[in-house]
Amino acid sequence: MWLYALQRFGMALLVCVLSVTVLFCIAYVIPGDPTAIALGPRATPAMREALRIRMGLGEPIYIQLYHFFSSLLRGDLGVDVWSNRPVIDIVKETLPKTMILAVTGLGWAAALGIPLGCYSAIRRNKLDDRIIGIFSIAMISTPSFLTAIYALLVFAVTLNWLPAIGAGEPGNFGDQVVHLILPAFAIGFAWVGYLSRLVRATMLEVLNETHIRFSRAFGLPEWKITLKYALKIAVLPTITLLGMAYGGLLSSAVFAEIIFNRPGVGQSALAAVNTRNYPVMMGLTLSTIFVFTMCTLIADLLVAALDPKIRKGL
Amino acid sequence: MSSKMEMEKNAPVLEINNLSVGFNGARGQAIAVKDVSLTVPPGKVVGIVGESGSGKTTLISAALGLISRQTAEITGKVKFEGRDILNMSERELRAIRGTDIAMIFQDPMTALNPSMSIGTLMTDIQYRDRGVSMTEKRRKAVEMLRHVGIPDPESRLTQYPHEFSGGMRQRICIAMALLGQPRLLIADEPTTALDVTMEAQIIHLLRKLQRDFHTSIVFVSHNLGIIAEICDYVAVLYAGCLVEQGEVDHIFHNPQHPYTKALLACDPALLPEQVTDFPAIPGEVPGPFDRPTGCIFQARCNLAADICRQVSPPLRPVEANHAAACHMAKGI
Ligand SMILES: Nc1ncnc2c1ncn2[C@@H]1O[C@H](COP(=O)(O)OP(=O)(O)OP(=O)(O)O)[C@@H](O)[C@H]1O
Ligand code: SF4
Ligand SMILES: [Mg+2]
Repeated sequence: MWLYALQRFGMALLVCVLSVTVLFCIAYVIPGDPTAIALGPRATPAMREALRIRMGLGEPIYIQLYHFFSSLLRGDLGVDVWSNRPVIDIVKETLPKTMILAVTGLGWAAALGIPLGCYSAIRRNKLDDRIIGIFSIAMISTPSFLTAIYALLVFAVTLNWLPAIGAGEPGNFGDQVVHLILPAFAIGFAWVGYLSRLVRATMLEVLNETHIRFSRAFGLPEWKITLKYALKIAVLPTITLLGMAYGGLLSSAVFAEIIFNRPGVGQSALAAVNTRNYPVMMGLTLSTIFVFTMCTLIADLLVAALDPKIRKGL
Repeated sequence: MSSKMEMEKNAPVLEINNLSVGFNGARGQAIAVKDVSLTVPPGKVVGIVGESGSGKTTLISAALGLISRQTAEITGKVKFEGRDILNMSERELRAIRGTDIAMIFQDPMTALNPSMSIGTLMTDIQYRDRGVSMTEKRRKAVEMLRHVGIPDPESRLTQYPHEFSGGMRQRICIAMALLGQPRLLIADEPTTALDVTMEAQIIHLLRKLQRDFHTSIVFVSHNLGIIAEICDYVAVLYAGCLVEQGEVDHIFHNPQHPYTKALLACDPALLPEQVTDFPAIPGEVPGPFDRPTGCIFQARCNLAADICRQVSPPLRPVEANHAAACHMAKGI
């Protein structure tokens, strides 16, 4: 297990480094003068030159890359071109907000989708399974921005039950929770369907395995066979998916933030793109990549811990 | 001893009467078992032998109510200690499984849940003993593991199936099956997936357990040599039909059905050692949709006559405790 964990950790690190390098190179080969983009058309050549030296753009790419990684290791992501704030502060401020949104969104989706999938598997091909199936497919095929807009229109505008925009008063926990409901609903919506389908499929597969028939031959109650003997195996691919889904959800969270006007990575990234604020964009992208890799890593380790074959190995 | 008790003592444990199983499919009904009658006397070992696909698993699964009526049409009667199995509710069936009838499967590598420790698997199936403490359940599990020859069973309770070899896993399956002290043990090719040494050990173990616990056993195999070693009675299945049955010695020394004769002639274990090319039975088993009228074996039988193509031969006695379904078999 420890050896496996170490391997997986090394892999995650490698993925991070590689994707950062690729990202950096893409930024490097993008045509156009970054200083001109950063400073706008009215900047004088002298201003551009000054910025060029400050950003270290004159040097060959590998030197730049070296500087970039060494400052990254020190936790230095550069400074906001406009406000001169350290980018790391912006990340620290926005990333947790977005992560909370993604966790809540995926959380309610998992809490509803996994039991629905189990239920569907037990009631396979019966009427209720079919109905759940139809709803699941419908949920999967609804784009999250559409869900967001309709949720906004129905619950905030027409019914006026929930606040439409913002993240709630800082410090007022209840208010923040209320503001979390609609965006979390919007981004988790499709995942309910997705998870219920996945769990149903893996569950049916596991329920067909010989060891399940063997357990039935001992007269074990069907609920115990499903919830203990089969779910323990069927849940493994679901955990892997959840790890990756969380990463994917970060990007839907970005949309939700823009639609619901919530502070977070999405808002800041949008603003940074509009103002060509290159270091902020880079910093936010990097932190998202990092979170994504960590999530898949955690999912993998969790699966390993639940699978005796890996857990009991090295 | 009164005569009533005497009768009860000898009443069959399992009685199958005219059991037929047809799987419902897109192409119609696929007959897997046709009109099979079979009796398992108490404390005896009954072998069911037949080629792959002859319906052995289907026969015993149907007899235990493990085949759902939605997937197959099942006709006939199955009685376990006088109780009608085929008309039992799922609840009644569950009450029987694991306590009265236990089953072990063909492939020990897939029969045990990979995510559960042996200890959990073995204590879970004792769920009926509500008053019994966990320690006591574990003690019983250890005792049974020791009985089936797992060395150092206490420490192995925490291990998972993948930490055991195939032979060890089959021993664990057998230990689990015996925990409920069943009166009938059904073993579906328990040694097919194992190598020869393991096979001999498992057979030896089953024989010993049968003596210790007086369990009746239905032993399914496609290997006549093994059947000869462990069984008291044999039933020979061909394409879902019972073609010959009787005491093991009669079948082996005086086979009456051409199929049984051919099987014996083909069994490598029973051939003289110097034979190099194995004889095979020419022709093919009829498929589930093109079953002929008359004798099921006619296409491959060199004795086939007109009557064989018109009339299906009934199973009739050829000597005491021996019956064959062939027109040409000499009756008594
Ligand atoms: N669930 C099912 N649906 C349809 N047909 C089935 C089903 N189970 C078995 N059959 C068919 O029934 C026939 C008998 O199969 P069965 O598994 O009983 O044979 P077997 O004697 O146990 O063979 P083996 O030695 O390979 O285990 C085969 O033709 C098989 O294809
Ligand atoms: S009944 Fe006829 S065809 Fe069938 S086994 Fe006997 S001789 Fe052969
Ligand atoms: Mg079989």
